[in-house]
Amino acid sequence: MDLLSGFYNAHELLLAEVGINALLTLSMYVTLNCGLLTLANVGFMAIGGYAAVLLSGNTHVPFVVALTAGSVLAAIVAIPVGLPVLRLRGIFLAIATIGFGQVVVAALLNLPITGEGQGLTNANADLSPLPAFISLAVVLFALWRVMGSRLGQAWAAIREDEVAAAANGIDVARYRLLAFVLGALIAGFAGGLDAHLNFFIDPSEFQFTRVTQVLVFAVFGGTSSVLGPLLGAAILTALPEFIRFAQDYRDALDGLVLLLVIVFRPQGLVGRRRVGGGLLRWRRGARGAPA
Amino acid sequence: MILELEGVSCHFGGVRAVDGVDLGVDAGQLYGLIGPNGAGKSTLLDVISGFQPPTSGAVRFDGRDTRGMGPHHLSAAGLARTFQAARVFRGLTALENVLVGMHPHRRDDTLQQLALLPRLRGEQRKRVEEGRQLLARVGLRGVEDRFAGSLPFGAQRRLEIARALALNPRLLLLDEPVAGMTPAEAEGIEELLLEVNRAGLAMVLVEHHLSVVMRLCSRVAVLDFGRLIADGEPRDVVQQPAVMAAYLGRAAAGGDR
Amino acid sequence: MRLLLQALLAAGVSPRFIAQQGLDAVYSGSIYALFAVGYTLVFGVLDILNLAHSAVFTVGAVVAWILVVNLALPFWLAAIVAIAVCGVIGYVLDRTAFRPLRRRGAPHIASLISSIGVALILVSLSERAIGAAAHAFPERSVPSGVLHPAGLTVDLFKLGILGVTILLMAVLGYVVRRTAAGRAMRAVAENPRASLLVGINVDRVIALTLVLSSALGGLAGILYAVSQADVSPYIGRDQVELRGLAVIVVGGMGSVTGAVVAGYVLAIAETATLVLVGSNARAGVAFAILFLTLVLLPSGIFGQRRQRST
Repeated sequence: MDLLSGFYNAHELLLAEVGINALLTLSMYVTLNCGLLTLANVGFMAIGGYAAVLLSGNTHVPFVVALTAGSVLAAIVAIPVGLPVLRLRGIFLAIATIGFGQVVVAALLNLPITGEGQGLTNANADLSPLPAFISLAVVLFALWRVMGSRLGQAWAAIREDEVAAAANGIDVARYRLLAFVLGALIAGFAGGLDAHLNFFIDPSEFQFTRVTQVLVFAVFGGTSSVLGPLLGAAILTALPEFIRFAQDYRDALDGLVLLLVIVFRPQGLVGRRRVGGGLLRWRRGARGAPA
Repeated sequence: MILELEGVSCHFGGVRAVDGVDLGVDAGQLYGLIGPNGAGKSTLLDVISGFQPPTSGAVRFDGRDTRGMGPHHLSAAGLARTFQAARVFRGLTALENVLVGMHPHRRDDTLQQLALLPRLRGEQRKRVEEGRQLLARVGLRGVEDRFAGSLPFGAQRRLEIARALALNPRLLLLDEPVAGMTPAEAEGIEELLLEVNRAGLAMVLVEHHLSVVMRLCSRVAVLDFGRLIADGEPRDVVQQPAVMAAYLGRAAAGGDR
Repeated sequence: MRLLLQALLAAGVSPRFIAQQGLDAVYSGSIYALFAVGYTLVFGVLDILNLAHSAVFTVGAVVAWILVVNLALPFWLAAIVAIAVCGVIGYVLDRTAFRPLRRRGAPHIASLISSIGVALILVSLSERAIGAAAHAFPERSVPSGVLHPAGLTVDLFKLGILGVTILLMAVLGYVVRRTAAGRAMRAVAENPRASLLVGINVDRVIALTLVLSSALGGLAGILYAVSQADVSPYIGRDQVELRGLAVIVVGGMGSVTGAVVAGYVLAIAETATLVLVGSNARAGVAFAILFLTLVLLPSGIFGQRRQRST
């Protein structure tokens, strides 16, 4: 027991990071399981994070409320963004969401309310990983149940073949938007937690590299079950901490992992090898089946 | 009438894929829609099933105008279809495929799932049992847990039909259900279709093989260049000069599979 | 265009200033065009968005810089070697990240992801090689020279960029249209399976495309680095990653002409925004154009809505 609590104290920050990365990866898991390759979650993370900091910094609301408000704001923003963007498919959707992420960063750099390049300071920082873990547990449970529900079934059908899904009574556009918004909600929440961990928040946190990092976690872990994102994020966040060499070459190793997994074991750690193309469908045209 | 088409046209730029088609399908009828390749049959199916809005004309399903209804609306309302390429959910098991067909009739249970209500398990068991029965009915007993993508083509066709039946439809559109099959497989499918029709389901069978339609359908419409050129009993229709011209004229170019 | 000029003149901007900015737009446009052509070639032939392309842009500049600064090579030699290195990277990229996926019939998104992996590796290695800070090519090492026609400042190197771009586009156009290799590329772009059946070595065509594309990307990076005196591991990410996407989407994915045209259009739009609105808005132009195009005309100006036969 002593060993465990010793470990815990020494690595509080790391554990919190693992929790947050796991949440981010889960936000990607939600969208990937609906067949959406959206790379916008870091943008929503930024929105959630900044909103939480602004709220808790300027008002007396408890941390939990600020966190929730931030994530709800991210989800709300996801609606007008998602409506036009989700009419796109495949590569065009990926590009549009990359663009969205860049716009968020550009806005953060230029708007006075977000402190422009300097970011904002967060006086209420708290290094405990507990909030992250609790949130993670809740989200894991919720997603596990949802994936087995009628909603999860619709998402799986859309992921496999959206034309066939539409022919089986599934409102493809609506479910895609739902996945997108839910992903934004979770990512926004992770953003709030992440902001709370630090004494400041600034745009450099939310560059495209963060997005690719989350992608690596998701691909490495696999997206067949909620365990995949958890394991992927946990292993790839924690491992570099213990291997000196790995820290310096962190990005290169992430890239290598991504490459190796995609080429040799695309279903990731926990995935079952799916017949017929794996996690994502490709479409040649830009638009999908009519709604 | 379960399905009525009035002056339905579908123009793409300068191309008239479907041109002023009128037809009617009675409840419980096995209706054939034939024509040479490129006659507009698939487009017409897309229009009927909501995947393609018509440029003009009206489609009525069960007395209801379907204007503005997307494919998911129509399928939830009882209009099922299969696709030329047997669009099964390749990464799901055969049973899971059929369960998707039950989607419109399944109550939304997201909240209940979160609350881990025990009643859900009973409901799921019922659905699984129904799914198994449907699979057995189409002759796919025993492959329930195999990935649909790993099934042979004939089995995938049957699976698609089972999934369509899970919708509890009142009309089933079939897009060339025996294309690409061996004669033995085709015979099996034909028997299945007859059995399903005998149980009371109206069906529109798009085919470009005359023989299949002759055997199965009580009434046939013939499409050529988007236009309806004949509509009546198979025996009569097939003897009409316009029909013969359409097929013989195209047979050399299109070939007969 | 005329409207734009009139607006500028009405706003009291001097014609000289407009001309100067116009020149800058042309130089930027050339770099965007060179970069985007490589991007769109790969998409046209392989149906893949190669996100390692902006990393190759970076590597071209970084390698050239290292060769000049650490090995004291003359600039033109360093540039040639750097471009060659980029070409090799393109080949390796195909062999490691794309070919295995092709072999097993993986969906194209998988190649997108694997290209991201390679990009991460390349950028990370660049970081290790030259550190995170920005550098510049030493003053004397690069060709330079200034002319002053009509009171304008014309940098000869930048003019050279334009010249190189025009030359390369002409050569590329010739290759694609008149040579066997070019025909092979167009065939594979149209229908890889059929190309295989008529005896085209599809793998070799694809490798060639990637080598060519990466060489162009590396060249664009070198030209950028010299003309803007900016060498860092992040130039790809900051300068061309988003802009490249905007250009190929607007121009039409797979269309070389579209990439060239859209490259200049973007540069002009950015410069106009800079002059009329201010530098802060400039960053948003690429995104705004990208977003608008995706929503209104995803196939781009020269893109085709063709169904690719597989």
